[in-house]
Amino acid sequence: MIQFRNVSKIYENGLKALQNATFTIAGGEFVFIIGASGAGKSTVVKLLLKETDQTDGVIMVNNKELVNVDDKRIPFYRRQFGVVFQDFRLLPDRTAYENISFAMEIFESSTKEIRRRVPSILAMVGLAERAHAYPSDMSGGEQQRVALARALVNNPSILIADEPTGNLDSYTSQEIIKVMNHINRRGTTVIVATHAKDIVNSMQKRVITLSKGKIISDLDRSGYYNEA
Amino acid sequence: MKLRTSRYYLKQGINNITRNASLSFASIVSIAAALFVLGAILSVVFNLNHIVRGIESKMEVTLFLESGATLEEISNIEKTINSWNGIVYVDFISRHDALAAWKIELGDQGRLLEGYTHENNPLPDYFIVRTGKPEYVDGIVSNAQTLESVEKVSYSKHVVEFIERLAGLLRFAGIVLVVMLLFISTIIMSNTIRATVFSRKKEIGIMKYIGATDWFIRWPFIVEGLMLGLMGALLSAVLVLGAYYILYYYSHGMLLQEFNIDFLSLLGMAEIAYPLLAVFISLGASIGIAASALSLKKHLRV
Repeated sequence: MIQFRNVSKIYENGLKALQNATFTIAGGEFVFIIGASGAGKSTVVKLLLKETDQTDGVIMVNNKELVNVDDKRIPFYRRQFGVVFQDFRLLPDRTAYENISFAMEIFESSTKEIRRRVPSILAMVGLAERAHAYPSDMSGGEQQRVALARALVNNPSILIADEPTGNLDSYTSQEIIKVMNHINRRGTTVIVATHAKDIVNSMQKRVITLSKGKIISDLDRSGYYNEA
Repeated sequence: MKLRTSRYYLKQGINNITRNASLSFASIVSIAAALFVLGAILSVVFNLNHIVRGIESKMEVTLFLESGATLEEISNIEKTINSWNGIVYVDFISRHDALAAWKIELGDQGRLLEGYTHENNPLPDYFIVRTGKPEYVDGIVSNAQTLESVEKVSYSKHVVEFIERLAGLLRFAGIVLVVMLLFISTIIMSNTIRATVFSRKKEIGIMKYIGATDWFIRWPFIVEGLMLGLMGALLSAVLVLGAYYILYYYSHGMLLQEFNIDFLSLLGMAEIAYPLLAVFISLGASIGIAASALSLKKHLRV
């Protein structure tokens, strides 16, 4: 489903963010991409979302080469992803419900569809009671669950999370990861870029480790966090 | 575009305006001010054109006779006039008729003329000559000036030329002024929209991650510009037409009473309102769209 072949990314300032990275992620996989900050995790995410282009190598998503996705098609390309960030990126002037329905509006879903789908996705992340709360009245964990619901509401085939637990305590982090695991079991490919050791070790999933822009290990299934 | 989505754009556009209420108000006022000046100038120019048309459509030459012209002389003059090119109507008004008509026109104030009788009537006899086409007027005037016992020839050419020069000048000064004002209000408005784009920068970024198309992001700002422009147009229409209404009912009566010059009566409210509304709405809308296009082009690259 996702293929990186000898992908390098060198930023204009000369920073080699990714060097000769090669890996394949199959549909339905749950993969951690780990490494210290600056190791290249966020670059992988940015390349996948086509926020930036690689300097060298080939990236394929669903059998389509990313360089062939022209600028006008980028929005439609991105619709196969749900994205969650460390800083939640909720709209502060809208309720939990509205933050989620907003994502459906972008997809031009019908009002009927929105009214049906938003409550059920809120229930799935355990926030049915908080539908009309504003981000400022919610805890970090609640906000991230809203962000997760927003990422999932349009049924993406791939969920990408960039440091999703970076601003959360370990208990809340586990809750978030549990939801992601649940989503993964229902068939969504999940890619989590993180440096949270506890979570990676507790999940026993595939772990791709980056260091200074290079892949230094790719451990299948029972992966663990090893920064060395 | 789905109906639901257009409702979304409309709602977001209105949100943009209310969220930035003071800036939005400033742009509405600036557009309204520019259009107000335009409207004032247009009202005057329209009326001047109307007056010119009124004068030209009469195509009338008046021949005032020397006092003491005999009946024979008068009938000879009438024959001569009728032999000229392009004459459609000749009427002789004797000094007695003219005095009587004047007394009637003055109505209550006709008493002022009571001292004048047949004997000391100060008015001259005159002919009114009408032609079918304006190009005959010059010929008639030069012919008339050669006639004996014609003291003075009066016709509308000078007035028409004067009014046309005035209208041309006004139009020119007006265009320069209005273009400047419209330019300024476009800048003010595009700044307003730029401010909303900035205040929504984060939101735009999030929308892009979710997969919003550029047009989905742009539309609310275009709606914002369009609505600001239309509100400015509406405000200026109310102001200009309100002012015109007051002027119309005041000066309409005054002109009739003081001068009894019916062709000088102003264009009616409806005659002025429709063209002005059309100009205001189309200019307001296009300025709004131009202003948002201007700020989006510069600032929507996320």
